[in-house]
Amino acid sequence: MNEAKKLIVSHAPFVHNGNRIATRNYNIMLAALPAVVAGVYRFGGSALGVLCLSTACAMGFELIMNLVTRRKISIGTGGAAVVGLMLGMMLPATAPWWLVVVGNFVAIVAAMQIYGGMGGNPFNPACTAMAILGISWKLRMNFDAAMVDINTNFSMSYPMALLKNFGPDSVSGLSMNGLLMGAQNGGIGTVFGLGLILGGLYLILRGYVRWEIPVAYLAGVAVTAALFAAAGSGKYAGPAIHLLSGYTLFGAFFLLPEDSSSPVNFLPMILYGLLAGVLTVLIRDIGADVDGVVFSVLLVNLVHPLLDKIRPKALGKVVEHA
Amino acid sequence: MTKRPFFGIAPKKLSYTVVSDIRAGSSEDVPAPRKAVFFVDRPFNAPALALASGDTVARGAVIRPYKDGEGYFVCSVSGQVSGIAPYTDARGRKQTSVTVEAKGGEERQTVAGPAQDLATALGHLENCPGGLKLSRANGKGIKTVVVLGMDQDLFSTAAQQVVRDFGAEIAAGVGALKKILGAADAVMVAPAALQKDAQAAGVEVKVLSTAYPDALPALVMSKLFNATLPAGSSPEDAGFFFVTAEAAASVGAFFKTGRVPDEKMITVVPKESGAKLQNFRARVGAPVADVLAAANVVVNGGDRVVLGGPMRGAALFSTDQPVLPDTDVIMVQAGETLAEISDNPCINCGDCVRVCPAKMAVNMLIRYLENGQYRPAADLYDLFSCVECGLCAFVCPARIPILQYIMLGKHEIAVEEAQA
Repeated sequence: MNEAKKLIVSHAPFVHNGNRIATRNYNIMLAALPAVVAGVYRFGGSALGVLCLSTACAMGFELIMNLVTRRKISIGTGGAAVVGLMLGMMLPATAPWWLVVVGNFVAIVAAMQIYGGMGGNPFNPACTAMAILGISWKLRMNFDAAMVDINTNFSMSYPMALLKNFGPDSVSGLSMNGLLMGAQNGGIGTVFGLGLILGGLYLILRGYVRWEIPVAYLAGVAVTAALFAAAGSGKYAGPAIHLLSGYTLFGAFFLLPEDSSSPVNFLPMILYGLLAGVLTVLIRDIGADVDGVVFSVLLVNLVHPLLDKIRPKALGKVVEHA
Repeated sequence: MTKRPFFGIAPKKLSYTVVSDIRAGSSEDVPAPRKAVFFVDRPFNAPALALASGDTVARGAVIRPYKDGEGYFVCSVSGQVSGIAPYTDARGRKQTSVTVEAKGGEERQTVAGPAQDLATALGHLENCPGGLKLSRANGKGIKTVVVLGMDQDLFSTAAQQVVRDFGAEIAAGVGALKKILGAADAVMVAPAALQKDAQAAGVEVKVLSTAYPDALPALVMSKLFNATLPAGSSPEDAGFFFVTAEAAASVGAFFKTGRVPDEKMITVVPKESGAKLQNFRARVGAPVADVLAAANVVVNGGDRVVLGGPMRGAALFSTDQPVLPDTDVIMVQAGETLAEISDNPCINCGDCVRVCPAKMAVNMLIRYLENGQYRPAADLYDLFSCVECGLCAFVCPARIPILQYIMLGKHEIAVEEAQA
């Protein structure tokens, strides 16, 4: 018979378009870079420290969990690094080291690896961690209190807190250009609106983020805020501040489209985005939390499997009527 | 040519290889083989054999290896039977393989004035070049014969070459098939570039898009005939008989000359990307190695040789394996260029859902299949709607062998149903 010539045998298809999980994740990190650089520029070296520690912690925890659960080492895919970076970007620049470590423990171990790792998490891991940190260490996660020692050349009152506590008049003096360029208090990587928009557009154009989710989310926020503003006669702010401050833009492009916890069909993606947008403004205007993005993301993550049941009829599917 | 584009807001559509300038008669003949292997579609059963090693067989003869006469092949070389053995094909079907050593003398057996009826066709043409599955149409009340004047897989230009070269035979074959099956209609589907040649068939021609996988029967039915093929049923159940252009040409040639055709048109895809694709004609049953030698393609250990196209084909374990009646493509891939597959979990990116021509929820389906839940996969997530195009696995960033899981699921359910 044919002795030396051993051929490779495998199943069809025999070609691939070259996409891989690592490429997706590195592109997400690349898209986050403008906002990250701007955050470090605005808040100084401690911001860089938080981001580095957070990314490293996430990868470290994933490696430990890989070893403990005796599974394939998966940090090479960049999944943990993305979660760590996202969490770091949402934290205040003054976050102490233990807060970052605890946050990443929650994100990687409790919100991701427990469910089987990448692809198995029902909730966005970074949001889960932020929710737990925010509830557990209120002052550390309160931007006005946490960032009191940081000196900048712009107002360091957290716009979302101003809005909640003192009404829309208190934020009417803020320049929209300033907000877009990152002259505001907030999470390290979430203040530079222009950078987030550019990064998000990059991800959409490259096909790594489904455009339906961010577009529907931003539309949901804008429409709900406009309705509140119109109905509240001076009690509620208009859409602009809601879109450009807090975690809104970061949530639209980096938190909501997280693969594992978001739907994939067209109508479900639109509903998912809209619902998150409505919830965000509801929490901000009449809820308890000042920002609301983290909790609205977690809440819509919860309904995502249900939403994704709305799907087109498969080819040749015959519906039998009883 | 099949890589993901830099910008990808919508999944890139793959296209069939359409060669607008295929020259008529530009295929090259592969020399007659010294050995040929044929498969009979039934499990090996030694006591029931009528054929034995050493028996003499002639080219063109219908050989029935079993005493009860069930199952046959048409021999493409004259010589002596050198071996009869069990064989399991790439889809797990148990078959009987017969090896024939060629011994010079190429006089060919013919059928004098074959009668144009179903029995004659069933008794001679089941494994003619192009693969004619007439037995599937038997007693199904076929209304429309659809000739596929287009290749079924990427890179292949074999079917297009046949449409260009054998217009008269196709025309005769379509007429014969219509008569045999009692069909009212015959339609040819062909890409826009081949409209002129397709007209030669003398039947209505419909224009087929060149987007993969629009030439697969289920999609031809839904897009060109506005008929939905219920999941899990065959086109024959719905009154459609799909026949490749090559099989139609074989039918035409057989009824004209009394000789069963035994030369298959094959596109050879060499290792080098961008290399010119060349069509060859080789005897059915000839070793794949012969075709590759004629095409000057060298196969090394660690390479992959695929019979039947990059998306839907089957990999060979040896180049001694034969050319089959439906082998449109022989593709050789260098070992170092093979895309890896993995056991990564699904990350739910949804690329497969957006690329699926059957609109299946592949992301959910794969979760059931990975865990061996084949029945729920079929009941809840439309396993049997799958047209087996392979696009889901082609785009999967986690490199999950999705099509393999789907085929496994279908196979397991078929086994389960056969036992019940």
